[in-house]
Amino acid sequence: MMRGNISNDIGDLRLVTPNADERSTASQTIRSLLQLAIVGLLIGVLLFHNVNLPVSVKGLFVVLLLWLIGRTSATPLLIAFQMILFFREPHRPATADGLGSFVFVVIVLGLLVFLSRDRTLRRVASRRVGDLIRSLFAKRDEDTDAAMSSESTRPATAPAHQPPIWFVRHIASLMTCVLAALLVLTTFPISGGVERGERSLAATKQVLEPVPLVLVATLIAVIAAAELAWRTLTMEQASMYLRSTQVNLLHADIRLIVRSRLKYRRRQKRTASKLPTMAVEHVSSVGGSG
Amino acid sequence: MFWIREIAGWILVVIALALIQTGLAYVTNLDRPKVVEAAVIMIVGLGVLRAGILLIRISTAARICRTERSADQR
Repeated sequence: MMRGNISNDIGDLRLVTPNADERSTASQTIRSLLQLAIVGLLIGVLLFHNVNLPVSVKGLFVVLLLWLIGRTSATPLLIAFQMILFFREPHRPATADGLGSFVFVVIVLGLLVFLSRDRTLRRVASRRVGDLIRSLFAKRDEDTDAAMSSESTRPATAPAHQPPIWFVRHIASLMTCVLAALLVLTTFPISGGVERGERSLAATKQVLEPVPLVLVATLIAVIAAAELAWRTLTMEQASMYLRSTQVNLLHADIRLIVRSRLKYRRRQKRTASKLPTMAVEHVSSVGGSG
Repeated sequence: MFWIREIAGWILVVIALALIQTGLAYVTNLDRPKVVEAAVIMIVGLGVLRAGILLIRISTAARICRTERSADQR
């Protein structure tokens, strides 16, 4: 009787818990882990082909790459990429010229884009090992599993009704970026003799001469693209930006108070979300013993 | 009024880009590299760039708000 009342009062707490949709099922976790392992293996094979490094170091680099994709933004990922390219450069395969290099770069970047766009994979890559193991052995209702897996396996930016257009658009933008990079590298070639000390000062000067111009041109392109994108703001977004900028510039004290209140609310929410989970465990333990 | 701010913002961006290019030219000049001077100019240039972009963004956002509001009133 008592149990029934509690259940009626609290409802199915597994469904209302805010963290419920963040947890994946055991089968889904295994599937995501397998996908992650395959993509990691592919990236490792493609990036570390002909590189004189121990297998453990290569594995560590791949794990670091996957972890960075799940946890952080683009900057640390690019730094990790630069480190990998630094080790790869002295043993660059001879096949990496012309069309071969173009296809190679498109494949590697495509894999990275796939990894960073897939919400489920990102979630799996960003979770702790303990949480992953726990979710592998978690027992869930079949219906909830099906509902959750259908929700969470959908990629963040891929509309369900237009997958080919989405795919073609992404591939086209990826190929444009790689083509632009190729064009810049062919216009300003950097031969591999620098680290062997073969280049004269005059040759180095020749390489460095266009750097300010190219960097400023890149900056202009980035600013122009950002400002063009900025013009697509809706009125609500524009008004929110104006208000936040005004508070930022003129009312630093109010900003401080609002931020501390938000922090407090977030902490409250976190403790509130923990309480129902504990209540479910308590109810199930009471049910099990009864 | 917002157009004036936007134009001022773009002028600041152009000045910042010129400063950044000057700073980069100081570093890449291998005969007499001026690293300290380049660092100072780059910091100033980045500050000016930030200010210019802020001006452009604020004026654009304000214009969007004003245009949509006047369209609603009609």
